Amino acid sequence: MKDCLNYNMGTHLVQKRKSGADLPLCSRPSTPGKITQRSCAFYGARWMLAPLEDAIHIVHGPVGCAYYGGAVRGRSFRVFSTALEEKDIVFGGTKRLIRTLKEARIIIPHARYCFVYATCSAAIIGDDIDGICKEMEKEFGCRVIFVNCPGFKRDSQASGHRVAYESLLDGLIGQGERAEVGAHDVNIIGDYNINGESMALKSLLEKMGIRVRCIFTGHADYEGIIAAHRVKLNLLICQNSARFLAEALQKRYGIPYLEVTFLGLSQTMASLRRIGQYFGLERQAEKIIATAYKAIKPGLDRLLPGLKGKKAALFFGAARMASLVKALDDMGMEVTFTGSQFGDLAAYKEAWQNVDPGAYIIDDASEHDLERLLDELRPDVFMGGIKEQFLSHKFGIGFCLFPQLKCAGPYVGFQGFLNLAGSVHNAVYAPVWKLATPNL
Amino acid sequence: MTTSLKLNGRLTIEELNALPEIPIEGITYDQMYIEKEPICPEYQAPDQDIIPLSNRSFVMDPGRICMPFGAMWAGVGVHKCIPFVQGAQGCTTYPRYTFCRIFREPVSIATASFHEETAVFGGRKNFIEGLRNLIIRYHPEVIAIVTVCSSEIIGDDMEGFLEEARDSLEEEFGPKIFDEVKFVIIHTPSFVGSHVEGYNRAAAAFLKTLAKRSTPNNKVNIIPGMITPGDIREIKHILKLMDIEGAILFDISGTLDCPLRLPQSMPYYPKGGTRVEEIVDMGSSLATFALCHDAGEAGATYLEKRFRVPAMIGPMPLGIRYTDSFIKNLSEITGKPITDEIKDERGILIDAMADTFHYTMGVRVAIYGDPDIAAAAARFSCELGMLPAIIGSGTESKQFVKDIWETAHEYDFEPVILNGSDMFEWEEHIKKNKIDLILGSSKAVNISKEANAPLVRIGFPIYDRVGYQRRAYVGYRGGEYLLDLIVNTLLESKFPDDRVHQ
Repeated sequence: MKDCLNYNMGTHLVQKRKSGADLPLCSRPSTPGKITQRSCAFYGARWMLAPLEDAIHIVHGPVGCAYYGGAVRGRSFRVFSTALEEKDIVFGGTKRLIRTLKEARIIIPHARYCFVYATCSAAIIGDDIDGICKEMEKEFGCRVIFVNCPGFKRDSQASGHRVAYESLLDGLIGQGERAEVGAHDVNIIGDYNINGESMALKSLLEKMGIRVRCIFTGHADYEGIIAAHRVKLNLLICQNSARFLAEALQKRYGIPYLEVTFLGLSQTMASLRRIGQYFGLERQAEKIIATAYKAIKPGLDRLLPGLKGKKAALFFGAARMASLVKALDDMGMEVTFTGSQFGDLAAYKEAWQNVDPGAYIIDDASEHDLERLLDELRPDVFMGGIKEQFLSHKFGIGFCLFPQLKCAGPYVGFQGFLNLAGSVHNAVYAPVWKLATPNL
Repeated sequence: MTTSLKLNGRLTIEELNALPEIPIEGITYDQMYIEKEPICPEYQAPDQDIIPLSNRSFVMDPGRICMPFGAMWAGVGVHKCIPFVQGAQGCTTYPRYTFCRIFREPVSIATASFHEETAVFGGRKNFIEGLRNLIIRYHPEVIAIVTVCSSEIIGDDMEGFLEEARDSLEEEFGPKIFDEVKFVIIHTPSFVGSHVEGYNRAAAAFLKTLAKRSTPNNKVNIIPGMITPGDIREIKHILKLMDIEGAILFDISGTLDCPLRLPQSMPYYPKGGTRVEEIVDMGSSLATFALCHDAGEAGATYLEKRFRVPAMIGPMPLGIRYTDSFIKNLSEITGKPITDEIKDERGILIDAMADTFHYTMGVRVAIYGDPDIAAAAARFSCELGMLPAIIGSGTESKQFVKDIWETAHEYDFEPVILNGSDMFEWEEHIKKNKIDLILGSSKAVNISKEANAPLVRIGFPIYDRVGYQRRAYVGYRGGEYLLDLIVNTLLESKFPDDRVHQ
């Protein structure tokens, strides 16, 4: 393992020791020549804004960016592309953008707002997209929002998340009002409804008597976003990319926020209790916890004994790197390494607190780093995104696609914990791993 | 059982939930009425004037990706080759996602990691440092340097940078490094052409950089184009049956469809892929077969001009006639006879067609895909007696139009041809015409549902079903598979269960 530490990683890889707090280097651009798992700012912005389906989305750039940007969170979305060609690159693409905006209005006349995304080429040739957006806003009489997310912006997709939240904050939030504001109205910030999480969270909180007004951006629409400042509390789930929005709403509109997470049994319970405490709904919270736990108990009794003591490894976008460690801890599993593509210092601090001594924490692992870690630590299950999935399989290690495994259902809340335990159990005990060891 | 419960007519979900109890005989599907929630209020046909691509400036649901993707596809098909993308991180990660979704294999592509300062000062520093890092960490045998829109607009002088990088590599590792690593530069500005053209340029770039003429080797070169690993295996099978030695340029069958065998070596490299020696040797072959005209023609033409290796370009050997011409050409060039086994394989396909033409005759079909695949699929549809009414290709291609008209004249029909258009236009044509079947990629799933025409998946990309990358569509056996798919899909969707028994 020592070799791995010295292997040109700098200190992007650290091991937790009993004393002293080493955190990995983070929030830096990837080294050139790396097979990085990171993506670009445009990817981040699309990831955030794609599910706002009542809007017009225009990608100002070559056709490839629109092709890739149409598939987000494992679903397909419709985007308009200006499909810049050679002559536009030479003479500027502004005319094309203006025409596209007008034509998009004809195709989707009922759209209430538009997003215009900048890409690398559009930014380098220097089209004045911001100016055009302002101009068209007057003509259309609806919001036309410029999302300044050229791919090379800052070091990873996190910058795209930030830009997307900024554009929502400056472009939409606070533009409208709400007729009535209940005493228990909340927004959820940082849930992305990849696998039905938004609905699961909403129904869980509604049972407690809490009304979820808007979920950024898993379940959001125009009305919800423009009046997002008229709630009593924000629940912050993704603590990496979304913290910015929660803090900005607190600063601008005085809405407090609670950091919660619904991954894993203990964290779900603690979060529900905190929310209950805030609103004075402790009794309801306890009632929900008791009934929900009772409902999943038989399932857990069946699954958890098999998972006890098994080793897991994690590599994600960012926020789940820390919270999932706790969830696996609830299952009695041990985390050998955890890491993220673009986590910030706060995220790594949290991960560091959650893991046991001896575990590794890695920032922006390249494919090679993951190979080495998998090969040397041999976890029983590896959890991450689709790019890591097939690499893990090649090394004979079971993989749990998290959270995009569509066949398993959402992984948040109580039922979600059971779903997660089931998926991890499947990944560990699939007969294929026994058959894969050569016996010929 | 309560007699008050009457199930006549259809029940909505609310009524269903309100039922005091479910009758003992159950509730059948035709008694239920499940309302679908439409995404938009109602389908309103858009303004007809802006549907043709020439009348508008935007593209929606594009059927093409940018050029670098094709170049990366090519690079991945070479043994121990890592594409190095001179662009931002997204330019590697998006293609890697796409490869992973389609092939379900890990794919290694390195990035030059462009950021703000690179956009201002150029990518020289990143390029030189990046090549060095890549060589130290991965020990690749070939590095395919792929440019993207940003580096082409900034005006990075890749040839100059490579010279500099070679100097510094030589200084650090000694001259032996150039025996171990080869460099190929592929210029693929994303704002021109499409992934098909990117593959085409990669074929030319690889051959220009590596191929040499030495003693004739009696092999044939095959540039397969952007077809699946299964297709490439089928081509190899045909060559084997005819006892011909072939060299395949960009053999993804060994890199994008790999066995899982433990223990795994580090760093992970697939066993297969085209070897560098094979590419070098391609200058001495008998002939070059570019199976897809638009993806591979440039490479074949280069070899013809430079080394006088005859170029046999297209059509893609899918269906009877196109496979016939491929096999005849193979036999003529190599002088090997067409074996009995091949004639048998052809006979089996013909037999299958004879057994099923009642189902396929007169079926109106809409086709969309890369130009060569769409043209070949249209030809095969005609051979089955179907009518390809609307044929679209995501990439603009003259050959595509020529092929389609040739087929149309032969089979006497008048198709709508969308050359280089997007799926939005294709979809509007489908909605206006009566279409029974759609041949297209996974991108056409929603269109197929809306048009109530079943989808047979063909071409690129297929990411919502498993195993399509392992199946062949080319050759006679591939034709069999495609025929079965088409007929079974028709049987499943057009006929009730009791009418499909034989």
